[in-house]
Amino acid sequence: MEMSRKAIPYTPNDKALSEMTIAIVSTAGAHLKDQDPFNTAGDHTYRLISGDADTSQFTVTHGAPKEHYNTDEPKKDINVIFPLDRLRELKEEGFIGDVNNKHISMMGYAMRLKQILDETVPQVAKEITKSKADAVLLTAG
Amino acid sequence: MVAVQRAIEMQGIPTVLVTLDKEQSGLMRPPRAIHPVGFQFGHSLGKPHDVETQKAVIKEALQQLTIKQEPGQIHDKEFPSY
Repeated sequence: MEMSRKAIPYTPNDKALSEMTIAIVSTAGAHLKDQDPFNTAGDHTYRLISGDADTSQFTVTHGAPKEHYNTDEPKKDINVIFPLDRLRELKEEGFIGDVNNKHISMMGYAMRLKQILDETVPQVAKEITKSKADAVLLTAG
Repeated sequence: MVAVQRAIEMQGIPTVLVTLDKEQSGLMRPPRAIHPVGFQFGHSLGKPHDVETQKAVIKEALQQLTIKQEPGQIHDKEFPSY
């Protein structure tokens, strides 16, 4: 579907956070160590991250210049860009209802803009709508 | 990033973006967004192992979902613990 820059899609929300299931979608290049790394020369693919993923098993692959995005930092603690542990804690505290069973990770600076808009973006939106997510938290680098 | 956000919103699921690149994200006009002021790239939600700041940023972002607002705005937010 063609998206207009002027008309901004906006879905109102009347649910309380304590009743909502939250998913993470990130373009910060996070992935599990046993998943294929992103191709830093250009990559329109995404990685599915399960809700029970172990945050000690993450790494980061990203094509941006290091002075723009230093991936050493999220490699020390993936929660700075992909906050699964924090969402789990917020669930325990009752601040949110649940952590989604599925999260999505992409690499920003991915160059392949047409493929991303034509293929990746609709696929990611479909993954989210098929999941239990009531809302999505998005993070970049 | 904002293209993904907009596509998800179009499917009827509310979203909120945490962006450190206010200029670039602003051009794309995100449905809902916050900008943690003064954070370095790579520290979207705070520094590694700074649980307090990370949680504060996430809470601030998610709370945007409960506030009726004009889409396309990016709200500057200060996090003194950063």
